[in-house]
Amino acid sequence: MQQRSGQAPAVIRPSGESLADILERVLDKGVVIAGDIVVNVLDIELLTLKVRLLIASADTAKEMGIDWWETDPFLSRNAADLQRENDDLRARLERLERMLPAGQDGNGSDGGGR
Amino acid sequence: MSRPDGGTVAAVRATSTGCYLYAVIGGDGTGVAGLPGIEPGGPVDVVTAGGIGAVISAVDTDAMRQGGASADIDEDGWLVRAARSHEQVVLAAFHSAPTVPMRFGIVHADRAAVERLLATYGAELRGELARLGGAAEWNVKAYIDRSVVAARFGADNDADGERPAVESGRGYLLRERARRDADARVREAIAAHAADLASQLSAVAVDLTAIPLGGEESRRPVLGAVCLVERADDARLTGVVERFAASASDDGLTVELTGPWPPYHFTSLRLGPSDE
Repeated sequence: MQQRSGQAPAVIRPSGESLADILERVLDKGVVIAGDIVVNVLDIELLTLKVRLLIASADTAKEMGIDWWETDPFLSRNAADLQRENDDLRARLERLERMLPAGQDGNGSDGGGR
Repeated sequence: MSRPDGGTVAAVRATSTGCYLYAVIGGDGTGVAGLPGIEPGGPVDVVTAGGIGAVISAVDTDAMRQGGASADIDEDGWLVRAARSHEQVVLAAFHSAPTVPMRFGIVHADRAAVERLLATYGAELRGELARLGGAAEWNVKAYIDRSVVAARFGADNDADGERPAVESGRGYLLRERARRDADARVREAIAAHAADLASQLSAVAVDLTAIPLGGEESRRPVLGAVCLVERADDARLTGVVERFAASASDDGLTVELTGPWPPYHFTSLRLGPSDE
């Protein structure tokens, strides 16, 4: 990065490319061919493959704002635990509400937040 | 044909070798032929027909199938290395001729199958090459410099901001409201800069896609755009981005530019039997 005193700050021109940028380009863009093909690597396990590659470069991907797997219950243990806990609490709440005398089951909201 | 891994295959089974396709080019491939291809496999070659060329290499199809299914997905694994190889070959092709990049992972049975592809879809491919005309893709991203933003918009919501040891409820609420107001001003400024960038780029770009990012933390880009620019306008493009960077720096944005790249984001061609 060049800084010239008294002038506008220079645009940063990184020499290398992040792995996330490279992967996003070659895995998601470009011409797609169907038909007379013997192997299409991305069809083998398309979604899983992309997900795992993103996870492999997770730090870089996170810098780009790609971190949806952290809250995806399938991919994130923390999110899965929270999901389970929510489900448990909801089930317990329903059981407790059924035990209340009729007409006293609170404000009737179902399942609260998420 | 010898195997790079020196494997003890007595005879090369036809089904174990395929023809990997990297890109289609408007040229004969001088400058890209002979480069290393995806491994395990052979060097890059070019097959031409009707004035266009297909950039190919022989690959081990078993390895391609295994690589796609492998649990070995890490930055040193086969798949990441293969993706990098793909990108390098396409970039080298782009430096020598107008290039339409293929998506990663496409393997034909053999060279003859690729020749059939060029024959069958020659019109579409020549049309795409003519449309892109060798134009390049450029990527602009802007990041927030938190210290500048904090000073500029009064968004001193960091942990080291002034917070009294004993704070009244009203004091807390007033501080929270001030923080929210400052955050809103930051977001408005970012949105204004994003619109300005799109406007400035569209004066020089053939095509343009704004990238919604919205990260407000230091290391994430807050706005971005990818644009297609004729090679003759490379210098105009960098000039536009430099002027944008100057105006955005007052608001704590730092601007990053990468390119020129092959036009990955601007090819929407789908080739194959029309059964969709």
